[in-house]
Amino acid sequence: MMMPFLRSVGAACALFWVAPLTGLADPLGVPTGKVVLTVTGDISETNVDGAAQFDMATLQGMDPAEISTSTIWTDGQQTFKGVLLKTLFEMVGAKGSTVMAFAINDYAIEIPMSDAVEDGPILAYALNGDAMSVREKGPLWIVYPYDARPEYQTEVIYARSIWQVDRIEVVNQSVSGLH
Amino acid sequence: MIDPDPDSTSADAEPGAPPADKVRARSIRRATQARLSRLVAFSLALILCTGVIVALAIEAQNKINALNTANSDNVQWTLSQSEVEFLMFHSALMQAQAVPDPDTAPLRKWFDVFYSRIDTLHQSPLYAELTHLPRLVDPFARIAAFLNDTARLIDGPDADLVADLPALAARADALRADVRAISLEGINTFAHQSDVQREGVSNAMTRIAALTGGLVIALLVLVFFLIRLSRITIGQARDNQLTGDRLDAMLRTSLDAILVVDRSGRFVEFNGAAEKIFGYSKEDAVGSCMTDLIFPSHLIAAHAAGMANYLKTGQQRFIGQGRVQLEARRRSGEVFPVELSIARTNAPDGEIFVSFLRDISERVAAEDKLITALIDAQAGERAKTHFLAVMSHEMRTPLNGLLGTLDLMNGTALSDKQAEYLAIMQTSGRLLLHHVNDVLDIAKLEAGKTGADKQSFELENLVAEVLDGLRPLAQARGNTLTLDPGRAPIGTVQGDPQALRQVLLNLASNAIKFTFNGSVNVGLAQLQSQNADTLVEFTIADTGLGIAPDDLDRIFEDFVTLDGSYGRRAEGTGLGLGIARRLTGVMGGQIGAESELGEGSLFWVRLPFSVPATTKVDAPRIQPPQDAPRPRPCSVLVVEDNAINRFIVREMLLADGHHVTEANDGDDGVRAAQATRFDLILMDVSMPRLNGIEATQQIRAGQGASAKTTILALTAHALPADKARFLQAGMNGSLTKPLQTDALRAIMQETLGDQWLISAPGPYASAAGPDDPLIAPAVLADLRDSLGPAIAQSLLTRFHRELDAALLDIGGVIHARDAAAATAALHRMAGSAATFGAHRLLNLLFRMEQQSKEGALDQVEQALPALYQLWAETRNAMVALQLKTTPRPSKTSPAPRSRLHAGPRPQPAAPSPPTKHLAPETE
Repeated sequence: MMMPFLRSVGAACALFWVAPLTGLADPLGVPTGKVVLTVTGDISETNVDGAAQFDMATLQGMDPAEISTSTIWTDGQQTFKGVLLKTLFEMVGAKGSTVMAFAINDYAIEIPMSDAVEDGPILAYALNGDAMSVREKGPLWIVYPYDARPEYQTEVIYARSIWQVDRIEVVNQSVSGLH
Repeated sequence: MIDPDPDSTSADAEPGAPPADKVRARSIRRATQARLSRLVAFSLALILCTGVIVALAIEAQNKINALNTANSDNVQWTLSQSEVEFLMFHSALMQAQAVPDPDTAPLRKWFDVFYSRIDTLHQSPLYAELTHLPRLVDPFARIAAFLNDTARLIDGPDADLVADLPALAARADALRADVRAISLEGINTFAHQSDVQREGVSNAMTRIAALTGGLVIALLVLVFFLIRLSRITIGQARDNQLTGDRLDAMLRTSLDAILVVDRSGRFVEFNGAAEKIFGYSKEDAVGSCMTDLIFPSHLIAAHAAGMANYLKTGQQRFIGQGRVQLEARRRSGEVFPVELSIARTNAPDGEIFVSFLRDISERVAAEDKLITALIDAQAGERAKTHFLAVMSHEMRTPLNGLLGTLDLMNGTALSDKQAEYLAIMQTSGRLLLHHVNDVLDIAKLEAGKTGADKQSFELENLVAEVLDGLRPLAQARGNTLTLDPGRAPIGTVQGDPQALRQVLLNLASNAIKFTFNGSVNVGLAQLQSQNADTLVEFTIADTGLGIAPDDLDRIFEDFVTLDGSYGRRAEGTGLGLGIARRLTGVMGGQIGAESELGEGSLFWVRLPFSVPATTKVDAPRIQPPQDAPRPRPCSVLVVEDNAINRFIVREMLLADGHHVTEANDGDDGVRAAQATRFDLILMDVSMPRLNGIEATQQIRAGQGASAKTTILALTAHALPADKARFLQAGMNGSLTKPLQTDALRAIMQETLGDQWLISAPGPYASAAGPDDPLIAPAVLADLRDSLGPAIAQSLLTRFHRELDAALLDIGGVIHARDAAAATAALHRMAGSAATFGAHRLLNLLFRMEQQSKEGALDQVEQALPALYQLWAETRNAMVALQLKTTPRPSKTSPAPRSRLHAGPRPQPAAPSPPTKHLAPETE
């Protein structure tokens, strides 16, 4: 029960900390570090060239979320830390029903907007407290709380668990027609 | 109404329960067991099914879970992707080599991507099988070594990387085969894995299918059973419905009220008949209290007590007792009689009582009417009987006067013509008296003569006497009248001689009446003889007209005269046979008749008699009452208000030599008895001022001279109850009017004889002495006259034998000095001597008896030779007299009983010794 409260306090703090750097007029701000994620498509908030670009600091400054779960790709219980997709999409003002996520190896997968729920998937940037290198499927990895719900233990969800993600495009229509 | 009742407890509790109950109990038990085993089987099947379903569900759930949660990524894609990413890395490496100052970023990126891919293969448990394959251990090891070595180079500065590119390219080329091997082997492995998995799914599906099939079968079986069960239930329901309908129809159509109440006494059922009978509707009645509704107030308390007792003890008073008659109350308050039966049974809500109840008020009313009618009829019958009794009594009184006067007139000097007229008058008068007596007899019998008298009498004598009396009548019709006395004489019996006389008289006179110029034979036979009881059959056979078979049945009814023309020839009231039938019944006998029309009739009477133990000794003393010898002359007071009657009685007494004093009524009688000592008082019962009974009581109560004198009632009241009344008043006996000489003599002999013998010597005793006649021929003649020659002869013979025997015995008795026995023996001999007119013997015996009584046995002993001597003389004299007395024809007298003699037996029709009908056979 304390968590949502703490999270909102944290978010508020982050805002106050980010605001002097980015200016109040642009909530996203312009990324100062290396851009790790670019969100495009049907979004209302952008910062660079009609896209919303994030550096690691920005992401780390956002309301964090943690998932402790096992995965089929790792051995044993893992603790992922990151930003809820929901939080991320709200931040960029995503209006579409679907997002297309792309990895650096050009793996691409469709994630319905409806997946982005509270207690749902996060955009993880840390594994067991450490940032993830590319070799460790980093720097960003969309992770679902697999152990929490059996619905998250399906091949569709595993396919959506895209690692080494660096681009997200918000679309209005399902590309594949699966959703 | 429904009261519990006592006796019958539940049949089950009784040890001797009927077998049907046992059978029923057994079949119920068997049915219960069958039901139980069916239930168990059904339950087991259900549990089995449930188990199977649960197992199936678990298996299915597992499979579903397994399908729901995929534990595998797209492995083949991953494996091929590792080769793709290696090739991308290789391509980046080639491009970097191609230019002198290459961009190493793509090379680095694809190295990292390839690195992460291989890392994934190592990390993920999905590929554990793959990585541990012996064939792939080396390739994996070489890839790992390459990655580790190259990582340092990649992470290092660009210059070093670029410098080492050719070497890197060489190693990468060498590694292509390994990556390819992993990829290909992976396809193999996972294809196999997939096969196994599919097979598992297929197996599971097969099992599920099998289980489903089994389940379907089980369900079908279940459905079958349920259908069967349902059919049975429906059948039962239909049966129940039919039974219910039938019961309902019975309840509705029953003419009897059907009431069902529960233990608390409230109506559960109240049918249509009950509604009609009680006036309550079913709606009113059901649920209401039975006692409030239909119990008359006087039964409520008893019912409450009975019910309480039943509920407490289970004792039942009315239940199961069949029909019970009680009373019930209608709505209108009317209480009416009902007949009901009650049964108890168990209903689902507890014990109930079922009662069938019938309104019997109409039946009871009809019964009451019948009873009333019967009572009225009986009252009418009694009134008729009473009327007959009174009328015949009223007729007898003037008849008494007529006949008595005629008797007296017979004793006067009459011309032949007058004697003839007188005879006719006497005949007619006696016939009329006979009819009146018939009617009175009927009335007496109807008035309830319940038992026959018990007296000792000589049976043959009685029959002979009756026949003697009828001989004139038989002769007048040209009939012979014979007696067939049977093989052995029956002798003395105990019974009702008057009744027997009447029966025989009626039957024999009837036979004579209907026979002309023929014969009437009276037979006598002892049918059985057991101890002191004997059954005697009397037959009266005639050669007369006979009776038609149709008429035989009704001849014993009252007032039956069979034929008009015949009736003219045979006059009668038609009561004769009716009286005979009644009297026979009273005596405990049977009567019947057989007949052949034109040939004759046979009437038979069977009567039981008892035989007295002391026949032999007492026999000589039995004297037919109507033929008693004349008693000694004595002084008589006649108390009678009727002048004619008084006159007749006086004349009768005077004729026998008695001294007569007359009194006009009870008062006069009492005064006379007070003043004078009489030997006998004849007392009329019905008198003005003071009647005979009161007068007797006064005489007996007073200290007058005749306070202890014998008093005889003169009465026309002949009913048995009266006689008891007379004795109670202090009288010694009674004489029924019209008075006849013989009856008077008999009773005087009976009541005065002993008194005279025992008390002071009267004129007769004082006259006795050596001068007395040895024998009195008149006495013997009278004896013969009254008993008939045959019986008189047999009696005389018996007297001789007994006296012979007694005289032989007496010597011994006296010698033994037994005074009491001697006195008794002498007394008996004296009695016999008196009967047979042996006056001198009697005198001597009497004297000896007195001496014996006083204990002077020596004197008695001294007198013995004289006694023997005297007896021898007497005996000889009697035999001589008997030889002298020859039978002679006598002129017929139409009157069978005409023996009033004023004077020394002056019989105008038979002047010398008045021996009538001594030899009837020759007449």
